[in-house]
Amino acid sequence: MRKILIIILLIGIPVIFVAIYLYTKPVKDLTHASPDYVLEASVLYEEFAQNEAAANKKYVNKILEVSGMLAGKQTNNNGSTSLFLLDDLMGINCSLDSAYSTLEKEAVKSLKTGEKIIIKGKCNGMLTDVQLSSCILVKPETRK
Amino acid sequence: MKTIISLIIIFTFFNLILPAQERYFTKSGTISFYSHAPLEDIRAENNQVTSILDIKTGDMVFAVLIRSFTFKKALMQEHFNENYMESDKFPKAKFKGNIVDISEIDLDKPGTYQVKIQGMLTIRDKTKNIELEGELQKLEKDQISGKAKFNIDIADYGIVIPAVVKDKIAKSIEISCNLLYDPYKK
Repeated sequence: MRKILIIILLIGIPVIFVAIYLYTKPVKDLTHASPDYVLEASVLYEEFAQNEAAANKKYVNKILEVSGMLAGKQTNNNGSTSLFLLDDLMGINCSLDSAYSTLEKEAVKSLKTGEKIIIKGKCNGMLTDVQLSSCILVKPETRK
Repeated sequence: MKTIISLIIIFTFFNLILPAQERYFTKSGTISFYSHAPLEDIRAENNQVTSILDIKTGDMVFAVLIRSFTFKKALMQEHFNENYMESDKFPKAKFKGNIVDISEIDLDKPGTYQVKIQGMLTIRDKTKNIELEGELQKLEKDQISGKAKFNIDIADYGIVIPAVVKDKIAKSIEISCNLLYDPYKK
């Protein structure tokens, strides 16, 4: 009887810990994540524009490192910032990770329209533009 | 000759003072939802809402990508996309509506206005007519801030909740919108 109880405890306790870990696991912070694809903003946009279904299959939920020209930025009412690559309307819409943009406030502020930047983020698909979320800026020195 | 010159002057004058700006636009609006559940509150936010607002006709359009809703917990986000919203099958949601009482307000003047909105909300390819109240604020800097809060019943949009967790998930969800529009130049 005692043996059975010990076995149950031995199996049960790790299972509970794993369950709690899985349940409370936060959404991934991309700072140290290695990208699934490294590509130009124009290439990414064209792939979505030409065949959205195929591009969805290839890129959705994947981590992309995209380089392109900054066409504009917007900060909304709750302080969240989006950077637009290629074009204000039809380009790549990158929503910055909120923890990252608080930490790197000055770096984000100093970005200028027309500047070439590199962004890492999770691809969510296409609306009028291709959307990336949880984005961070990739600086040359942090690039792998 | 004199009349022609004065006509030209009048025309240029009107062109200068008449605000050509009727449409406002954003691609970084926020829509969040909240539902109270016994185990834990469910909350998610999307900061990539695209919306156009026409301040003369009162027409408004909103579009969102379902996958751009972010949660605090990874597992919750996965369940939301895979089990409830089926984001692969239904990647987008949209609202197409109108400010019913647009003729009573003047959004060229800075100030805060309460408005009634009516329109069609499409989620998971199911479209329902909804009515809500919102607040528009014309800022000194040529921008418009829009806010609204309303509830939807998830059953209206064909979202199926497994029997096991049926009592743990609220049947009505509160949706909040918070957008900052810039003039649409193009």
